[in-house]
Amino acid sequence: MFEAIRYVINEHISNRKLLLKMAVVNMSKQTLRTSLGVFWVYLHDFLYFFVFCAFRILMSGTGQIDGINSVVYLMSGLIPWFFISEVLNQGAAAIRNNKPIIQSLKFPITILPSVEVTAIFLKRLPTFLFIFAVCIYYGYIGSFHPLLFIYFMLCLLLLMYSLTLFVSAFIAVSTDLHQFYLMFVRVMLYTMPIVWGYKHIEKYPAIMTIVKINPMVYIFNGFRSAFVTGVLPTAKYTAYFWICTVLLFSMGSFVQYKLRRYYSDVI
Amino acid sequence: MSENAITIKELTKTFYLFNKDYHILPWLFTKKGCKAEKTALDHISLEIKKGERVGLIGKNGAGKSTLMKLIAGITFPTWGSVEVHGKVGSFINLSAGFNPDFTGRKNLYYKGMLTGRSEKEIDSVIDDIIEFVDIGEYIDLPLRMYSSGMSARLGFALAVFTDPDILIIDEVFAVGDKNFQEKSKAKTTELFNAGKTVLFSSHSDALIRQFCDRVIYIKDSKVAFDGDVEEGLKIYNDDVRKKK
Repeated sequence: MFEAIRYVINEHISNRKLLLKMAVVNMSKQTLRTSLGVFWVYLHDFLYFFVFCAFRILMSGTGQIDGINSVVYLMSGLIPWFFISEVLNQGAAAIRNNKPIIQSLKFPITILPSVEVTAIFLKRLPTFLFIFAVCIYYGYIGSFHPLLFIYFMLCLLLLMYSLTLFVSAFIAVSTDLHQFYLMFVRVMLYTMPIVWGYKHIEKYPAIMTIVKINPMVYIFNGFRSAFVTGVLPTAKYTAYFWICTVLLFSMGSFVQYKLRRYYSDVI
Repeated sequence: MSENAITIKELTKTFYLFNKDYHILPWLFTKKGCKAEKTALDHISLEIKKGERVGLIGKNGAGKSTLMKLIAGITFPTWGSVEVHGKVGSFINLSAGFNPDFTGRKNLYYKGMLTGRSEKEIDSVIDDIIEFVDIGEYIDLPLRMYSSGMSARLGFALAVFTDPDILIIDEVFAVGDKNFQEKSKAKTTELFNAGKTVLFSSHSDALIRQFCDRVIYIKDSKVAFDGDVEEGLKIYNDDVRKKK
């Protein structure tokens, strides 16, 4: 186990330049043939976001969720979610999609999932900066809030790197798992406090607990507090989050380490 | 540092075949659930010295390509070890790693990056490559507009010009038109004469005679013959005739 973790970390460190360069190239891969390029991504996001805002404001009538301005509430949840959902969808196929590279070049395979996550992050970085700017405009940013923002950004990235490492290994050897996983990701948005507030489930502590089992909820709570409330997460939940992340990373490393010798034969 | 460019000890490669791909997951831990095992190479030991030009012969499925892939570090041995001293230029799948939406020029840098060459290294040879490939204005057009021969030519040129110490060539002179074939043969001969180690797999006796000074005949996952070119080809051809 420790050998696997050491192997994966070493491969990342010794190939860090390759990782970054490849991420920059991959960033433009899908939008290369379009004339608007990466702006298509932002347009998608904007439309999605607009629909949710319109829907929420019309339905609730108050324009507030949990006492926070709806637009800001949705923004602090949806923008990270756009990033997460893209990572969940594409990062998962990181190994499978790079079949030609694995099958005919000598390549540090375990960095492939991270390349994907980094590419998506770089692509979405402007949206994160945008919400940061909007929140400054609204005056929600207090003295220590930027630090919270950076901390949760770090949490988000580490969780995504670990999760992708773990999931992409399984997806590489099974298309059925991929289908199951995509189905799961689709409904995931609605199981998290992104488009709804805690007010609705306060009465049911059991549901609260179930919702919080997902470590991503820690991040959404976190972003919300970084932007608006400034409430620090509890020590217990923080510990839970980090245990989840480290566990995912360790298991991911282990599976990748075990499977890496077989990818070129199996995929 | 040893005189050997490639040292292979007790190399064994077994392919494990599964009914469903994901059966590999429990198999990793329990070694159960594997439907069939196919041994591609069986306890092979070889030493290839620096500057030697080795021809690999054997019928399809004998294990030639597997051996080349193992030396290139693309697949991993089941047992035994492969030690390689020097940069490997592999000609196994020439257009692999290219992206159809990038221009030829960008693809050269991209694949160079994937194979661990720095931008500077590519910069210094890019003009030579473009001249060698000789595809005119296509070099600045996306690869998807190329004919399959053109992209293979690009791959061949990149592998040749990035100064490898060890060349692993798997039947690539079928690449391109006659003109390019002549050119690539000339270029390869130039590299051969520059004292590079060469591992060359071909079904053409003439090419083996022309390029190699040692022959390894792989038969049923084992080395059946290792040594003089003429003798090796004779044994191989006798075997082929017997089958008929």
